[in-house]
This record gives sequence, C-alpha cells and structure tokens, in this order.
Amino acid sequence: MCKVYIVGNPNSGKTTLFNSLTKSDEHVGNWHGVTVDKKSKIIKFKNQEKEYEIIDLPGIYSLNAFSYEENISVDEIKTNKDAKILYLIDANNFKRSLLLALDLLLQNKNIKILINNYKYFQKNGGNIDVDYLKKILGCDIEIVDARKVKINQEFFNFTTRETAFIKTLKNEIDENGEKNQECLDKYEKIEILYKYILKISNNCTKTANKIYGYSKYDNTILKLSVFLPVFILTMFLIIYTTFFLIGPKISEMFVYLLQIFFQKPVMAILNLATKSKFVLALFEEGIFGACFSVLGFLPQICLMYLFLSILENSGIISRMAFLLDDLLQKIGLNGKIVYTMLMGFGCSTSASLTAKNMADKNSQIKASLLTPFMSCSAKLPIYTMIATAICGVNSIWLIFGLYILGIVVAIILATIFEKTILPSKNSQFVIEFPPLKYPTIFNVWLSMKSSCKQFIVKVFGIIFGISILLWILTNVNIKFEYVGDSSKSILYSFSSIISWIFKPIGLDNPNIICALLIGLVAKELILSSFAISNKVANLELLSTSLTVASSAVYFNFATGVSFLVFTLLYFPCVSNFGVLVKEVGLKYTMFGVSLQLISAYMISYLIYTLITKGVVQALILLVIILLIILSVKIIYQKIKSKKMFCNCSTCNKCK
Amino acid sequence: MLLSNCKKNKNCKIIAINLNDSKLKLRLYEIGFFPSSKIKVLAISCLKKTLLVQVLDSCFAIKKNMAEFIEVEYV
Repeated sequence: MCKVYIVGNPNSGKTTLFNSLTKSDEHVGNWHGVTVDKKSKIIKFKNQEKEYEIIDLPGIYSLNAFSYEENISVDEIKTNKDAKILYLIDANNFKRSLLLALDLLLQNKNIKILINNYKYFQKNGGNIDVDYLKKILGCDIEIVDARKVKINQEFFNFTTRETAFIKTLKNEIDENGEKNQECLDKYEKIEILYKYILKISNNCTKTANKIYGYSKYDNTILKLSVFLPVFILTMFLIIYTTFFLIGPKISEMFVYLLQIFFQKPVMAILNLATKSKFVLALFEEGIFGACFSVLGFLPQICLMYLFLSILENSGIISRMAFLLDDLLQKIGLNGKIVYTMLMGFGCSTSASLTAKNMADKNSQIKASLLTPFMSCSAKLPIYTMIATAICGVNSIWLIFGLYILGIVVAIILATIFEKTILPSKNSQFVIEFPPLKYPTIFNVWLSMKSSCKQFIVKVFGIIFGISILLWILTNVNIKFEYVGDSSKSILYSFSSIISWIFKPIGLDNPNIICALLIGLVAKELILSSFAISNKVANLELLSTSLTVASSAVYFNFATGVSFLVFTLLYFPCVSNFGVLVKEVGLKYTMFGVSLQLISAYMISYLIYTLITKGVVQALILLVIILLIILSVKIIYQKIKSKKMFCNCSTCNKCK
Repeated sequence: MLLSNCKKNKNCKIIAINLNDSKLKLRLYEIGFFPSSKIKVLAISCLKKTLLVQVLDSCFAIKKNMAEFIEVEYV
C-alpha cells in the first residue's frame, strides 16, 4: 500500500482535496486551524490491485512544529520517508508556500505540487508560469480546483528529480554551514530559501493586484464599535430565525410527515399483530415518542448548523479573533479561542478538539474546560420545548439569555483560572487572515451535511437504544414487572432517594431528576425522558403536558428557568468527557466536571431564589457564594505558598 | 524604527527581529518576517494592542508587544 500525504500551509484546501479524492465529508472552514488531527482513507482504482492510503494532515509552515497539531504533521513526514506527498499551494500565497516545498525537496521527498485557488488569483491579475516551475523544481506541478479533482492511477505516479537549481541551493546552504563550522543557523537557512523563492517568483509569477486576506470591507468591519453590535444582533437573529421564525414551522411539517409515513402505519400494523400492552406502549412511547421528540428538531438543528457554517466559511472568525484578542488577553485567553467557542455552539465535543491549535498547554486546557459552557445544538430542543412551554411568545428572550449566560459564566471562570491554577504563559497571538468570501453553497452544504449526519446517527444509535432502556426502567418496578406507571418504576425509586439534593433549586420531581441523570449520556435524551414520563407520542402533546400540574413532568416559570440554567451548565455528555480525558487528562477533566456541577447548582439556586423569594434573598445568597469563592481562592493561595516555602531547612525549596 | 510605531499603509522593510524567544522568532521568519522583507501595517485594533500587517502575499494579525521587537525602516 502506498502512503500519500496531503501537506500544505494552513487553509490551503488540504481537507477539501482529501474530501474530493476520497469522497469523504470531513469538516472544512475558512480558518487556520480547522484540521487538528490526521485523517486517512484508503482508495483503490477499478481493476487495479494497488491501494493508496490518503492522509490529510494539519497545516504547517515548515518542518519546525510550533504547536501540538503541527507536531502531528511534522512527525508523520519525518517518520515515513518513502511516502509520497501531494503538496498543496494556495496560488494567492505562492511565495510563502514555496518555503516548505523547497524544504521538502531539499530533504529529497517525493512531492507533487498542486496549485489551488488559481482562478481567484488570475481574476485579481495574478499568473504563474507552471512550465518554468516544473523545470526549476524537478517535480510534477498541476493547477487544480481542490473541490473537484478527477483522478486516475497516473495522478499518483510521480517522482521528483534533483535539478541544478536544487543542487545550487543545497550547495549554498552547505557552504554557509561550513563557514560557521557548524550547522547553518536556522534563520540564515530561511533567509537563503526566501532569497531563492523571490528569484523564482520574479521569473515566473505576476503578483495579483489585490492584497490577499484584506478587502475594502475590512476598513469597516475591523472596528469593535461596529463589529460587536452587528455580531450580537446577528446572533440574536440566528436564534430568532432558528427558534421562532422558520425553524418551528419546518419542524412541525417534518414531525407531521414522520407521523404520517412512519408512526401511524407501524402502529396500525402492530395493533393488528399484537394485543400486548407492553409491546404497544414500548413502540408508542419508548421508540416513537422518545425518538421523534428529538428527531423533530432536526430541521432547527440543520438551520443552526447552516448559520454556523456560513460564519465559518466567510472568513469572519479571523476578524472576530483580531478584534476580541485585546479584551480576551485581560482574562488570560487569546483570540484563537473564538473559533473553539463558536464551534461550541454546534457541538462541544468537536469544539474541544479544536483547542489543540492553542500554542501553550494552559490555553489548551482552558479552552477545553470552557467549551462545555456554550449552548450546544443538543440543548437546542430542550430550550425550545421548555422555554416555549413556560414563556410562550417571550421565550426568545429567555433563550437568548441562556446563550449569554453560558458566555458570561465562561468569562468568569476564565478570569478565575487566570488568577489561580492556569495562568497564561504569555501566549503569542499570530494568526493569518483569510480573505472574506461569500460562502459557497457546496462548502456550506458539506459542513451542514456532516453535522446533521452525526445528529441523525446519534438519534438512531445511542438515543434509540437508550430510549428503549429508559422506557423499560420507567415502566418496570424493582421486581421487573411491567407497571405502566413511572411513579412505581425502578428509575423513579432511585431518583426519589436523591431528590433532597435538588429541592433547593426546585427540581426535586423524581422524573425531572431521571431526565437530568439520563442527560449525562446525551442531552437529547432529556426530551426523550420527558416524553416517556408524560406518556406522549408527539411534540405538540409533549409541549402542552409540560405545564399541566397533573403530568409526571411539569414546570412552572421558576422551576422551568432553574431547569434550563442547570441543563446549560452541568456536565455536557459522555462523548465530551471522553474527548476531554484524551486531550487534557483525567485530573483536569474531573476538575472540569466538578466545576460544571457546582456552577450549575449554584447559579440555578441563585436564579430560583431570585424568582421565588425576591431580590433581597438572592443578593444575600450571591454574597455568600462570592465569599465561598473568595475563601477557596485564599485557601488555594495559602496552600500554594506553603508548598513553595514550608519553612524547613532541609528541602530544596527552602535551602 | 519599530514596527509598533509605524504608520498605517506606509511601505516598510524589515531590518532585524530582536526576539529572545527562538521558537517564535523562527515562526516569524517562516511566515515572511525576515530581514529585507517588505511589510505594511494595514489596521490596528481598538485597544491598540494588535496589528494587522501585510507581509509577502499574506496578512497576519500580531500583538503589538511582538511588533516592538521588529525593527523596520520606511521605503
């Protein structure tokens, strides 16, 4: 099997090329740092025995890694010396891209250069003499559109030969090394390489007449006084469109179609086939009720991902990072976290993975621990259902408030981390500006498709399976007899034992506690749990039942808000837990989980007290909470200073 | 003159980079911030702590405290 690496600078189109070659749909975006891990797929041509393992690597500028994800690429290239390399150049960043190409040629790597985004470069007056480049560099060079590369076996049959140009370059580097009587200084080597790159560029390229990555719109966008209000308004409009304007209407139609084409025919057949109450109830409540209560939100989740994809592909995220970096530095973060947090509005698990592009470990840990506080798409159905039930037409403000609350809590925690356990290590902020682009339908569709596919797979996989288990636990008593009444079930009995913990925050209903416990697996299961407890088989009935006092699960305004705040802040899901353990280690993950549970409880308690007992009581509680936080900080500092100096004369610290 | 003191949209040339952090200095060299490279400040953030600069064919956002280590001259 032949290994083929796709290598190039960040945001040059490597993952787009990978998707094109392997017919995959890996995540792409107009941002430097979307790909943070290697991905591979094996392809084989018809009637050919040879297989090719195509490996997409995170972007690098050179063979000197600067961050964690760059290490992945550099290690792969250095370890597999015989692998072929498809080196992708963005035509608009031609000179800088050639640095790594020359470095690879100097290392005698077998590379084929693919020039991407050439149409945009030509449109702006640029031009590259490909034939001249082929002669100079001694390798195959092709102009491609990474989105639609047609390949055959010949595509991978390339070899590189050492040309006179490369020999001259090698000699100059070696001679300079000998002069210094040691290896050539890294900086001198780069200066020599760029000297040759500028020579090549003068001979074979005509520069575009526009600055790549900066447009006339940036004169207006790059002002915080303009950008921030526009961004907040945009977020509000996204939430409004998703939750109220278009989203609910499409969801209603979608659920209606699901009922007509799946639920009613299947239930009709089952009613003929069996009289067993257990089987009929399992299907009606456990499968259709539980799964459709989540699946019904697919259109709204698609809409949310559509808007996030547009933001991601437009190039606006870099602008946000530039504008917010100054403010984020005050709380020990840097602008790069903007991408991670924005992705957190989609899925906190995949967002935590993007934290790898932070330059230092503390920043990576902070980004990973703060991402779960963003309102991910899994919480969207819960917000819609409960906020609409308790607030009616005013629920938009409650939902918008939840999104803002998550951000505020993350900011407060970041400040606490900065002053205590995770001080930032003077992290340097260097990011490249991609051009502002109208997101193409193709890229937006690709981003949306992969996110929505994940959601559907989750519904028909884990949610389907856990819903059946949940229905059984909610309808079977401790003797494993079918009782059909959740108040006599195994799960209810267990939840009743721990209900005293949730009494101060108004969530001591055992069925609500069941939902919160099940929500530890996946947030979408919370609605499934409500549907099962209230024995409803469609969204409309579920929504109505949530405010009826005689239902197994019901909310008034205070308990509804408390529940929503708790759901926003407590433990996100097991897949996020798994990713955090892998990325930041078990110690920090457990710390993060404890922090989520404590902040969820404290803030729910505060808000519940505010609503039920008034401002004065809430203020007293707030003061108590702040005193507790201050005490913890003082105790931590005392322990830390004690560890530094224990006032003995024997240990190394005190000598 | 330091890059941090450059006026917007004035063409400059880098004379030297005086950073002690060798890893960061190397990264700057690699992305085009090397002596004799042409550079231009395009925008400055609201709190004046981040600069947007054009170097070679690309635009980069860098911190002002990093720009204070980059010596330039107008061309």
